[in-house]
Amino acid sequence: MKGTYLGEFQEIVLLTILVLDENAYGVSIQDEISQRTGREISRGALHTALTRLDQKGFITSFYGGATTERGGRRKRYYQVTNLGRNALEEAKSIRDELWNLIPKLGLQG
Amino acid sequence: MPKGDAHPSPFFTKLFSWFCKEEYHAELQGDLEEEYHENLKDQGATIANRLYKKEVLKMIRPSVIKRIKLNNNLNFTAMFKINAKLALRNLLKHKLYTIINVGGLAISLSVCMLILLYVNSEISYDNYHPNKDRLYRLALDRFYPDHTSHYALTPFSMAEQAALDFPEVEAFCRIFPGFGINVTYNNETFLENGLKAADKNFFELFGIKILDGKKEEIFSVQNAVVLSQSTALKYFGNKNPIGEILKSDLGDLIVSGIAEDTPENTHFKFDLLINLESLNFLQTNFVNFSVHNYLLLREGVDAELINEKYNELVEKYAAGQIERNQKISFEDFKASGNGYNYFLQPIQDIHLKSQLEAEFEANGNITYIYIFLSIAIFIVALAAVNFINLATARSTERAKEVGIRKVLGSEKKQLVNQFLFESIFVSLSSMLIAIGLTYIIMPGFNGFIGKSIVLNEFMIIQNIIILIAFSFVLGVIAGVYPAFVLSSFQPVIVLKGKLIRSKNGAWIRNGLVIFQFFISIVLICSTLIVGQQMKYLQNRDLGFDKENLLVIERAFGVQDIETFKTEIAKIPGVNSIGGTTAMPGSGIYFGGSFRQEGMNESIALNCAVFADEYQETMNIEVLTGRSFSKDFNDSLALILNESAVKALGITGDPIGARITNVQGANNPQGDIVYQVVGVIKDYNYKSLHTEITPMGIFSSESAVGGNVANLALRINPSQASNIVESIREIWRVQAPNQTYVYSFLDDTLNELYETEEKSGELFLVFTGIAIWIACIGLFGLATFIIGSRIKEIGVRKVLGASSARVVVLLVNDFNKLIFLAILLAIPASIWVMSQWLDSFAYRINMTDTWFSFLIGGAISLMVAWLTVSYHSIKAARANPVKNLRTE
Repeated sequence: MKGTYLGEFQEIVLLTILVLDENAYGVSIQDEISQRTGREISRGALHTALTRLDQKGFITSFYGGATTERGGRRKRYYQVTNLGRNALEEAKSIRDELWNLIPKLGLQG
Repeated sequence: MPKGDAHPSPFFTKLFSWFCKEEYHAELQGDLEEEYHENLKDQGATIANRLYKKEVLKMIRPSVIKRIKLNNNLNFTAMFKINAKLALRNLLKHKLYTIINVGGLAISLSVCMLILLYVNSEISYDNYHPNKDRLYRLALDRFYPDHTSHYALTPFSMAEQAALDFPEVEAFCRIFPGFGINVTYNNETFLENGLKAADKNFFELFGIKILDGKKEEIFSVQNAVVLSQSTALKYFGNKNPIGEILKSDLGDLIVSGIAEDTPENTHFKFDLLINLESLNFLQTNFVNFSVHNYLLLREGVDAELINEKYNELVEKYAAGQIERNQKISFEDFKASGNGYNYFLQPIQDIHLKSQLEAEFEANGNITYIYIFLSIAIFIVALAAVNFINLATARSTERAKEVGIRKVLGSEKKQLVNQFLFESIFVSLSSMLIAIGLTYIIMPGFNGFIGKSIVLNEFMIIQNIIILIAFSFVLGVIAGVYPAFVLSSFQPVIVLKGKLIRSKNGAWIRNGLVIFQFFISIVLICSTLIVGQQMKYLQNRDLGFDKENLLVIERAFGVQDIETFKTEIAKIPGVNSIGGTTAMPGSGIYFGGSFRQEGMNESIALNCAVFADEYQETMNIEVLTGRSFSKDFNDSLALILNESAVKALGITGDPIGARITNVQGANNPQGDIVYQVVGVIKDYNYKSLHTEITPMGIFSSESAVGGNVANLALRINPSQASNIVESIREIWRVQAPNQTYVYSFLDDTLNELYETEEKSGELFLVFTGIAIWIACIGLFGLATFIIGSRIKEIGVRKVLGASSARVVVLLVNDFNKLIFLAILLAIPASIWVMSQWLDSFAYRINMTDTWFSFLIGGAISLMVAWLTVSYHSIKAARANPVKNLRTE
């Protein structure tokens, strides 16, 4: 279980990559997250999360074509692997289960 | 789209590429740049760049930065262990060297730390006030026709008017320097000399904390007093002092607050602080110096601007008062060479950079700070030089070790590491010992410099890291030269037993010795010159006789001064009694405006009052005329000093000259005309730091007489203690409830030169340490050089040279170095010392100090000979067979 543990931030990053689909690279992920969640994240923090996810095998990446606005440097696009999808689904199901277990009374109160 | 050629900070881009892992760099740099250009479009270049820098800094995290490339980890620790073991063994094997090396370094580091602590406490003055960067004190350059004086004390309304007229001034506060008063509580009377008076907002402008009482209401009543914590403790013990009443010469004082004791790093101190409003004699005034004025400027205001504006203020407000007082137009007043230049001093500069008249207390001197700092650097440099010299000196002994290691496969790098490790080890352990030493010396040092520095306050992580880093760097610097020299020996040559004599290393070693002796000689000469100047000051003819002179202060406390004097005169051993308002040195003189009758121009004289017989008691020489005496009515008689005769422009016989004392316009009697009855020789009535300025002396019978506070008694020294006690008895009867204060004039005068005296003593100690360290270095070098010539000496002796000749030969080598050092040191000391001597108005001439250089040179030569001769004699007396046998 430990190796596939998904932190809260990592989960958001994974989901964002899925949302962005074809266009998931550093800057777009960063922008998307700050727009959706309203928190300012640094590129460095994002990098740490991406490296972790990569180490766990939840994402893969490939280089895109060179662009002019980046000083000629190529973009690195990220994709969620099946393993990553499974981990996301697992996390979701654990949560749903827990939500269902909360006594209704408590929720209403 | 990128605009033109806008690009993010190149430094940060470089920084990033330096620390970022290569595999991520292209991606991350690309992302950062894209983001930058986006921000550039939306928010402009400044913000975009700022965000970029922030992003780069946030990249400093383990997942991004490069791994530090360590060699194989296992190998590293093993090397470390071996090196540590070797270093320790080596140090223990050569105990004498270790003690000399570590000891020398530890002592010099400890001296360095003490100096830094001292310097730190000196530069921290007034750094705790809430708006210290905007808080200034008003000071004055007062131009007189014949001289300029610089005053810290300025007219009462100067700051107040500035606050009204200049929008740049936010607030002002005045402090009246105070006087001694008797304070009684519960029938116990103390003389309080630490009385000051200030405006209501004192505790808002100055960072001194109120411990008890309400800050806003501190001076809501006129006779309120704020006590310092220790004063409150003295009077009230554990009782709550707020609202209590103290009886004093100024009437009843109500305690309205307790303040912390004035922090040591403040340019003034108070025990009692009273309301300035309660001092009725302080009235609107733009001319007479009475208070210290402080101004708080608004943010961003340049003090220079206020300085400019003060010229207008003088024209507008002071000019009228001057014209009324002097009865000449302000233009004429200025034309005759008078002038006022007010300027603001940043409050933090007062302690070190302000040497004005009428400061609250003796200030420090920035020159000493620089001198001490350079000494600290020199002493550490000397010790570091020793390090290098001793390590090279031992290379003869260690050459074989190096040879064997190399033969057994040691790389040069490993050897360098080993030697560096050793030297870092020595410097780190010296640092530890130095810290311990500093702890031990601190209490004594504090006592000596009269401060209370708490060492533990400085033992914070940041400082400890600095110390460790410093000793590390010192170790590397000291170790790097020997490390490379030793490790570059050719094993074959070394093991064959050939002599090691690196020609190119010689000039470095010789240069270092010259450097060490250069500094030692400069220090010796400087110490001697400081001593010479101090002796000159103490023995200088002050114009009066300061020996065996007992001064009774606050004599106004007695009911009738004449009865008191008669009583004292009866005490055996009292030869004569004279009274004055101001004793030389510490006395306070009042200013008076005078002009020769018939002349328009008036000049300012420092004034004092002499009672009959004062001149005789003090042995002040009368040049012409007479001094005040019982046989004359002296109420309109005036005595001048020589300078005053010149300043007033009196030509011909001054006796009988009629001099007008110009009175203020609000003085009903109008001007008073005095007649000069005598001229005295210029005597030093202030300290020898300042020149003698014109002085006028009134008789105690004159209108300004009356309050003759000091009695000077010429006494028989063998009966001094009896006399002091007898007077105490008389005082008790004649001045009940008044404190008896007496002093000896020579002590009081010596206190004026305390800073110089202390610095002189510190100089002596530092010089001793510097010479000692230089000797250790020379000792080491002698070992090296003589060790490498041992065979030559053997051959010489076999061929018939006497031991004495050999010693002379060896010592001669060093003589050259020392002579060169002396040649360099003399001009350097002359330069340094003439800077120092410039701070005295009465000083010895540089040409009179040639003897110091002679002694300085001689001492250094002698010390060098003594150090070298130990090795020389040992080498010269050794049996040549022993030395030659090995080859």
